[in-house]
Amino acid sequence: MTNIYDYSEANTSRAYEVLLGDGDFNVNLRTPVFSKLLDTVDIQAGHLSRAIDAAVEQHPVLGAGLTIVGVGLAIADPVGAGLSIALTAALKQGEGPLEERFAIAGYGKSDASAGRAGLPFILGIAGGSGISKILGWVGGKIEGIFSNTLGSLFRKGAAEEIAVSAPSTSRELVPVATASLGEWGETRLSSFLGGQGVKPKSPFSTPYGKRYPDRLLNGISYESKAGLNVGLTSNFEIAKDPYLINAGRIKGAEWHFWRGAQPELIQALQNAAIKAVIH
Amino acid sequence: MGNNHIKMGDQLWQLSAEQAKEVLDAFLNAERDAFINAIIGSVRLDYSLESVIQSMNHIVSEIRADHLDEDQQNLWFMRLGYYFGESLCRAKPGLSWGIGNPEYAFANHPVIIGFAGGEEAEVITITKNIICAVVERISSDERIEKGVHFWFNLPVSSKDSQN
Repeated sequence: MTNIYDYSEANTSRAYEVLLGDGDFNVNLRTPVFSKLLDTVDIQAGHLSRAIDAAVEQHPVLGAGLTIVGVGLAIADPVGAGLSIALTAALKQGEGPLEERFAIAGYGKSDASAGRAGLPFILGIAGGSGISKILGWVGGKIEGIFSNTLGSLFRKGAAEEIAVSAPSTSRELVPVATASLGEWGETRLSSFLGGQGVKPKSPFSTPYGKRYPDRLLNGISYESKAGLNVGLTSNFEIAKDPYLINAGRIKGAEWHFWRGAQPELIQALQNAAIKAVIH
Repeated sequence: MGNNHIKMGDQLWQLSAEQAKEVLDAFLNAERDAFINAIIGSVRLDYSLESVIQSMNHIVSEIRADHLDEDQQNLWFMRLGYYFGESLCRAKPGLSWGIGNPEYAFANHPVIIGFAGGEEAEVITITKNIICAVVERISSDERIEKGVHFWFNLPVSSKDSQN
């Protein structure tokens, strides 16, 4: 898996070539992960690259001296109403440190089978807490159910909601911000469980505090950890599941790590009879 | 609702307090009637800690022997949950049947209340979890004994703290 923060020249220049290229955009993105998605998404690379260029030039704060040092592909379907797809770009100002900002050039269409054919094109600059300014619209208009899709994205803060991936090398969709990492992990967990189980609406009570399982299936409590090489931060957190198991409130517990875990945490889980699964 | 077909599904949390109380009363009435002449293998049903453990172990062996289909298993989880809860109440003054705290995952479930710290024993779920964990070999056979002891050993709240 490619680390999304690895904006190495080899990684990003390739992606940027794809972004700016006049053709073969779809071909280059046809990895197993994206091929199915691209069946319902039409991407016009020229539109996207021009849109991002325009966004950078026009942005009142970031325009001068700004360079794009990395790009990614964002795909989201937050309300299940249709796919939206966006290109993201990590921006760098002069020689300064990498800015955690993403230019969003969203493009996509809703599910054709639903009879909706909107092809909106939206452009903006997303900061760490979400879209700071929508710079303009390039063609098309947002309407119908698809506008709800994008509307949800932007209300919640697109940078935190969408999944980002280096398009040419990564098969994983990894979000940018901590808040969405959790949701991303929970989505992966749900997928791993075949959509089965539920996220309890209320927590379990333990002497160590409330316990909110990410998923509960057949009495097994599932925890999703999406952070990078998750470490042991609190024994209280681990103590909750053994308590619930001993009390019979749950049958067992499994913790799933999507981007690694440190050995001391795995050991602590094993000591607590919690199953650890590293993907 | 006073029959033997009470639905103990996942939607109990949606009930009002009054509806939850109706479910609890119906559950208790049905199970009390059922236990007048109940037989669980050769277990002496005297509401002792040991009899709870033996009853659960008996059902484990029945499930492993493929003698109980899913519906029958669920009926026994409910029935043994009642027996577990009633045994707790008889063994430890201060405990009683109640409705699960609406702030937690077992909202509106039939539970045993009166434990220190506001703990509640969701006896039906607990019974199902520990029996299934043993049947499915997720846990060793000792899980039943440990689970039952856990609740029998849990301190009861003092009257002052209950008020």
